[in-house]
Amino acid sequence: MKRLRPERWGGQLLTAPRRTTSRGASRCLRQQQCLARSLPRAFSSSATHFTAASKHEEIEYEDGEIETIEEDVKSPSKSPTPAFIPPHPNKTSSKLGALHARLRLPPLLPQETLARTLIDPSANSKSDCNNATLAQLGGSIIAFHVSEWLLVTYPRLPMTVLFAASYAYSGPKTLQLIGKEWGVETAAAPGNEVDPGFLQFKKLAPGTELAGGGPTDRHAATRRDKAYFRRGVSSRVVYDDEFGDIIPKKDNRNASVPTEEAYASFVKAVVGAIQLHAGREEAKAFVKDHILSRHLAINSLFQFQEPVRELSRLCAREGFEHPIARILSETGRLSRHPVFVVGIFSGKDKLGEGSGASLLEARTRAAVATLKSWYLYSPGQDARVPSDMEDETKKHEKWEPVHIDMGEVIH
Amino acid sequence: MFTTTAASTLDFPCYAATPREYHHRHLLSPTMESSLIRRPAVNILAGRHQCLLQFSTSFRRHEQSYRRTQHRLNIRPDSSFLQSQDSPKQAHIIFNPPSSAPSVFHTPLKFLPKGDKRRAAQVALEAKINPTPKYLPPPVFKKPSVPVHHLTDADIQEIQRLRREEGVEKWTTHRLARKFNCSQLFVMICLRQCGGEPPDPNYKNAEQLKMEAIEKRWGPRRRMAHEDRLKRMQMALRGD
Repeated sequence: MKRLRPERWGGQLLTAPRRTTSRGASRCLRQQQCLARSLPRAFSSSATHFTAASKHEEIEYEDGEIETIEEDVKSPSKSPTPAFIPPHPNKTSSKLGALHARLRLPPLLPQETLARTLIDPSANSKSDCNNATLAQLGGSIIAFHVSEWLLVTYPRLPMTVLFAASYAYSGPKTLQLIGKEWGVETAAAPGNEVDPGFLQFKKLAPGTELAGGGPTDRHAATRRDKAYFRRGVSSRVVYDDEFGDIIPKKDNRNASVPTEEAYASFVKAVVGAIQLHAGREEAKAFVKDHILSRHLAINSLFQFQEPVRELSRLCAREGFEHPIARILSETGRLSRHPVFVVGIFSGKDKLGEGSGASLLEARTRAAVATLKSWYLYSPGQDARVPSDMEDETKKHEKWEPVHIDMGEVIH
Repeated sequence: MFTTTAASTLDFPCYAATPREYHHRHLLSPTMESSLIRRPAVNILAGRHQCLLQFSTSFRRHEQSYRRTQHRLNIRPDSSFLQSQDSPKQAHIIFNPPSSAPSVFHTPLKFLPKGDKRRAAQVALEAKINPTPKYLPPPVFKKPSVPVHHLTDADIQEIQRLRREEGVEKWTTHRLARKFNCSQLFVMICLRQCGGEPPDPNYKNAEQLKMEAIEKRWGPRRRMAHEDRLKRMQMALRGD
C-alpha cells in the first residue's frame, strides 16, 4: 500500500475563506468553486473541462489540477480563487467509500474531505489536515439548528432544561453514539499507515483523570471544591457554551482526547463538510435526519424545588385564579397503602392531576404535572423554524411569528 | 394439578391412573382426610416415605376449575362498549382507552396562549367532553390554617425585635408563627427580607449537627424508611 498523505487533501477549507473574505465570507465552498470556474485565470489548462462537467465529473476533474493547487497553497496571494486539492484515484479507502454511501452524503462531498473529518487535531496538528475547523463550523451549525428547533417547539422551557435538552440532542455523548451507529471505528494509534476510514486521535492513557464531573451548584461547590463553582444561569447564557458549560481557557488541542470528544468532533466535522461542499439546506437536512430525529423524553428533564409555590406564583403572574388542590378520588385512607388522586383547580378548570400515597405527595405530584404541562406547551412538532424561510422554495410564503414566552417562573 | 404428591396419597398399589379416573376418585372421597388421620402411626413411621407426603392435601379441589374461572370472567361489558340509541347504525370504531394519568404534553385550555390556533377547537372539545361541573370536588385542605394579611407593620417590627433581643433559642420561627397566628413562611420573610438581620450561618450548622446526632441513634429499619421517604419525595419532585 502506498503511503497516504491526508495532509494534502482538502487543505483549502481553512485557507480558502480567509482569502475570500473581501468578496463575501458567507459563500460556501461550492459557490466558491462556481466562482472559480467563471474566472479563467485560475484553471488555465483545463478550464473548459470543468465548465462542461456534471456533478460526478466534477470530482474526477480534480485529478489534473494537483500542480496548480500546490502552487496555490504555497503562494496564496498569487491567486484570488480557492484551491481545490484533487484526490489520487489509488489512494481511496473502501471504508471511506462505504461510509460515504451509508450516510448518503451528497456526491459533491469528496472522500478526501470525509477522510479529513476523521483526523482529530491530536493526531495531526496541522490545521490544514485535521478536522478542527470543520468541527468548529459543524458544531455551530448543529447547535444553531438544535436550539432553534427547541425554542420554537417548546417555547416555554426553563433555561436549565433547555441546556439539558440541547446537551441530550447534541452533546458529546450523543454524538459519540451517532458516530458509532454510523459504523466508524477508532484507530489504535494515529499514523500515516492507518486506513483513512478509521477515526484517528491520540488516546488517553488508561487511568487518566478526566476534567469536569464536579459539583454543579453553589451549595455543592462550597461544600467540596470551589473550582467547580458555576455562576448564575444568565451568566451561562452569555459566557458559556451551548450547553451552559464553561469553555476551557486553555487551548491544548494537541493533547490526547477522550474517545467521546474525538467522535463528537468527527460528527460535527461531517456536518461542517456538508455545509461547505453541498450547501446550507443539505447540512440542515442532515442535522434533522441524524440528530433532531432522535427521541428525547423531554418531560423527564425537570426537577422542581418548590412546585406548589412555583405554581401559585405562575397563576398570580398569568392572572389565573389561585390554584387549589382538590381530591378527585381516593382509596384505603385508613389502610397501609392508601392512594389519593388530587387535581389542581384554578377556578373551575382542572389544570393537572397526580396520585400519591399521601395527600401531600399527591398534591406535589399534581403541582409538578401542572407545571410540566405549562412548560411543555408546544405549537406542534413540525412548527416552522426561522431557518425554514431561507429555503428558496419557501421564500414567498408569509412568515408567522413564533410564540415567545415571558420566561420561567421566578419564586 | 395432578402431582405425584397427590398420587402418593392413594392407598392403591401404584398404577398409572388416567386423569379422569383419578379426578373422579378425588372428588368422591370426602372421607380422605379422616382416613389419613385414622391410619395407625406405625404405617407413617414405617419408612414408607410416601406416607409422609400424605399430609400435603391443601391443593385439593372441591369444584371444577375451568367452569368456575370462566364463569367469573363472564362480566357485563362496560356501558361504553354496548350499543345504545345514539350509536351510529353502520360499522364504527369504539375508542375506549383504559383509564390512565393524563399526559403532561396535553396543555390544558387555560395554559394555551391567546394566539394559539387550536384554542377554538379545544374550547369546543372541552365543552363536549368535560362540561362545566356543577360542584367541585372537596379541597385537600379545608381552609387555610392561618389568616393572611392581618399583621401590621408594628407586628412585623415586634417579630424582628423579639428575634433580635431574645434570641433564636427562645423565639424560633415556629413559636413566632404560633404567637402571631401567621405562617412560618411569613415569619421567615419578615426576618430575612423586610429589614430583618441576615440569618446566623452557625445556627444552620448547629441544627444540622443536632440532626446528625439524632440520626446516629436510628436503627437500620428507621434509617432505611427515612432514606426511602427522601427518595420518594425526590421522585415526586421530578414527576416520575
